[in-house]
Amino acid sequence: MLKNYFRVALRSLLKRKGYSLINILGLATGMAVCLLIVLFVKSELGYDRHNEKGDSIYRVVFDRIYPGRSTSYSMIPQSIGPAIQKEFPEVQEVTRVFNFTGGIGNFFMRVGDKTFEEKKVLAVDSNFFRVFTGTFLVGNPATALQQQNAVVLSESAAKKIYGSADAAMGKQFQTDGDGNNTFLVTGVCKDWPGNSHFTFDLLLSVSGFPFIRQPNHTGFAAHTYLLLSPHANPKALESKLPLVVEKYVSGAIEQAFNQSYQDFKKAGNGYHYYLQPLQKIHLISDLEAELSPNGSLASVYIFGVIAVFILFLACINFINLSTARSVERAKEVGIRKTFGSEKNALIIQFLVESVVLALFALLLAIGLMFILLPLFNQVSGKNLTHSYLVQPLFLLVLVVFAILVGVVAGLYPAFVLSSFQPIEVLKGRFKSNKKGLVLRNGLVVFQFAISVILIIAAIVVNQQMRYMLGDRLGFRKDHIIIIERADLLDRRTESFKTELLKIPGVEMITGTSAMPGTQNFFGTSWQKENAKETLTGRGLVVDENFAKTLGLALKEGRFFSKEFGTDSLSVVLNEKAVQELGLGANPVGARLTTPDGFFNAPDGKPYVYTVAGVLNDFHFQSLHQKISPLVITNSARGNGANNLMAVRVKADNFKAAVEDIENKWREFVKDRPFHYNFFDQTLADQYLAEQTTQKIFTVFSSLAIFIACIGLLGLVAYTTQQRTREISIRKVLGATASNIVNMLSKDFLKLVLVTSLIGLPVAWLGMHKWLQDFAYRVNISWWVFVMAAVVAVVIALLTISFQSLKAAFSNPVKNLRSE
Amino acid sequence: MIALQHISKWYNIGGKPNFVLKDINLNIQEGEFLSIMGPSGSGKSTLLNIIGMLDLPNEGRYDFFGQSVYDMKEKHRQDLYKKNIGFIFQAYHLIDELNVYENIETPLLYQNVKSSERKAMVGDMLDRFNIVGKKDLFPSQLSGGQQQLVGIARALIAKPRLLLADEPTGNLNSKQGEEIMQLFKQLNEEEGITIIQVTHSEKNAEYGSRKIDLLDGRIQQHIKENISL
Repeated sequence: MLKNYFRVALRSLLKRKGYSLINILGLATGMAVCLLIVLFVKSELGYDRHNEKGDSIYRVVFDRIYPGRSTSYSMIPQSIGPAIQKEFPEVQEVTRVFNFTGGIGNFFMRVGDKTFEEKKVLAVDSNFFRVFTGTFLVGNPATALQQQNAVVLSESAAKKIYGSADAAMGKQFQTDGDGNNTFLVTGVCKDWPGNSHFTFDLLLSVSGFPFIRQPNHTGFAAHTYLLLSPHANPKALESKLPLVVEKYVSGAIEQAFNQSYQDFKKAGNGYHYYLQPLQKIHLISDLEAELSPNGSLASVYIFGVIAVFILFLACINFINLSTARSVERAKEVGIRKTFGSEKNALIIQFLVESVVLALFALLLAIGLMFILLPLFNQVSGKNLTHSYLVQPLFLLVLVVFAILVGVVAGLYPAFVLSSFQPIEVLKGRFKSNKKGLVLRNGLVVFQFAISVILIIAAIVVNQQMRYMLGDRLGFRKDHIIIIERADLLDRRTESFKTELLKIPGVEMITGTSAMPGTQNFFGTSWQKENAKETLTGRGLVVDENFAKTLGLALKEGRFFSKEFGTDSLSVVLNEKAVQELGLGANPVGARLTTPDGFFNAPDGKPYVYTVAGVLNDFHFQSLHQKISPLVITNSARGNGANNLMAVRVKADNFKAAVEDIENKWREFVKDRPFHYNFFDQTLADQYLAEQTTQKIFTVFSSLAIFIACIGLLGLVAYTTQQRTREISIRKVLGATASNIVNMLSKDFLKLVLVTSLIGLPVAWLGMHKWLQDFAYRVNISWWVFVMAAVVAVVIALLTISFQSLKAAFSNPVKNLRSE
Repeated sequence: MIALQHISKWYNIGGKPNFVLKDINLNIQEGEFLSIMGPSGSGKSTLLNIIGMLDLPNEGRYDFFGQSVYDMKEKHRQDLYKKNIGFIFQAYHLIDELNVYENIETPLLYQNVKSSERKAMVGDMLDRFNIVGKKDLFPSQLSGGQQQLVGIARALIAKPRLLLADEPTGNLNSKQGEEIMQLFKQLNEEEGITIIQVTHSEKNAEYGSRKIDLLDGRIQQHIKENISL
């Protein structure tokens, strides 16, 4: 019986190739997207699972509470971990991880006469591998990190530097920098899995660094992980953590802040320590100084919802196309019922058919998935591989999934088809019922509504992105190269600048401590001379060319200039700073002081700074934030060297100039590679999350439109077929082709218009909410809605015309004869 | 075998009943070959469908082998129907996706006949109608007469005691039509299968043992070919 069903199913699919293709294609697209997202979600949920004791590992993090605000850090003072272990017996191991290359910069290995720059270097406690699970190729995890100068390499680092793991073992190398700078390779470990919240190429033993021997309860640098005993209660442990602060930290605080711990707390300060389960860090944690950018539960949900949605849309098509074809199948149903088939048998038959179709779709979906994977990786920022796909278990799950989809999508059509009354259909008195038509139209409306919403979302996100990276920023961003580690030039900074200016195309150079789009604008506080209230804002140290190079507009006064010898004690403010300092209408010449030691005399005596000028507000931070007060000081106060150097180059010499600049750098700085960024790229990188959103909406709106079009195509094909006779009679009576096209298209266009009307308010609400996240944002203008509706209508029209033209130009005699 | 009493069927058009069948009383004995005649719209097919249990009257009583059809449970009626009734249509109504063999096999599937048994039964049937060579062809590859032959084979496969035919020769040329009628006569006389056919053709009606004429939903006259019976 079942064999018979399969046979009929296959033949029926083959007989209507066009229909089957559309149906399979639509379903396969939906499935492919859905499966990709499943891969994504699976990967997101599978972080840090490779650790054998992963269930019992927790990271200690804390909120640093300041008066009126708080900041959450993923790293804690280095002495807290050992204190926790000492106090609480349920803590079996404490291991600390210091991000060696994260903030400070570069790690250079000298091996023979070659220098390797390593970017993923961690310094860890010697018990690191008692907590985390690593697979050693050579060396012993238990002892590898015990020596002070021990290093464990990742497999790929060992291969890159020494050729193989075995060759690396026991080798020594030198590094630059303070303290011990000869290291010994004591082990090589398989590359740390990519789905871990940290990764490394070099693991140094932290015991070799002098700082680790100093008690430190207030400065935070240690990512601290606890291995709890199997039956320990992390919640209970968490509630006991304040004891550690009381017992160990209060003394340190009294020393560091020169006030009693009670006063410190009363003033609104504090530390709130808490635990994060290791395997959830990737999903839940978004704190300062993470070891790598984490994912978010929200994006897992968003992607999940999208997956279900797209699949749902594809299933709707399936339902639509299947029920639309009911006329064709009605005869068969009639015959089968006449020959004794019961309704259930027919339902099963149609379900088998849709399952077969879903299985075909699955095959196609797997193919599509391979093609789409690179694109998807780009959109989601992940690095998923095919290896998931070929596991037998996963394939089995896929088949079950396809069967489920087939059953879900086939259930409604199966019920509709199987309930036809045989005499009705066999006598040709059969007509599709109105209820079915309403349902199918409703489904298509729904699909187009979703498409319209996604189109609007895509447009608005695009607009906001262009706004954020456009010319309203208050500075120019094109053709500016940012050279990193310009401080290495030290006293040769000026001569380097002079050399660069000789390169054709180089227009202007400035040294600065930070560029818009980077996080390096340090926190600083200033006050009017003798005033009580301090302003907390951001600080920037630049040379006199900064404003000109970035094209900043001066509102009042002047920018720094070499012509004024006293400029080392001048400041330039932005409008916001003037306002918050309460400098009134004539800020130029106002006298300011700061409690920050950095800006004062070495003996602590405060200098008095004079306001030289005021810049128009410009967006040095992301547009999520309101512009903060900005206090700019002159780098002439030091040796003239700055962290960053920004070089403005003419557009037409850009490429060549970059090369020339690099060559010059090599001449000046022999032992350090040239690292640079393009300013516009740096700015865009601030909005990585938004860029992802943008891509998601673009991709999914296209997909939704595609799927909706398939649905519409099916519906039109059905209606046209239903009306073949009517069309023929009309043509015989003198209707032109355009009359016919018009007649067939009108109803559908009305439908699509209604759809747009439903979609518009939903889209407006959603995007309005999304934009609230930005302090500076575009207005959603009316033309966006018009455009989305027009796009939907035009696409719908094209889809419809495909069928209606065919009908309009068909030969009426042929159709009438066949009646 | 069949006893219809006061069978009426109507549709309400504009609030007034429009009768398709009006107070039909009809008894059919096992072994009869009945022809139902009448102009278009006289209710012939409706009457056949009611006898075939595909349609329900608004009023009346139907006994099949002494059992009241309308008092039966659905399941019971289905069984009765499956075992006893075979249908033949003017438009053949073969399933396009199935080949000759599979079309003939279909009713057996719904009666849960074992696979080996089905094979034997379909084989017999193919032999009997001389269509063994065509068993792998699809309906679209057959002539009308051949398709109707398959239709008849399909109707007979489950060994029904009652064969219902709705204008079985309507789409055939006269030669093919004659052959089909000969076959019906043979089935009726040699195997004792009761046949009820709806036809327009006097000539076809002559093959039967009895004829009724319908006009506007009423039986006009009963003609018994062999009055002495």
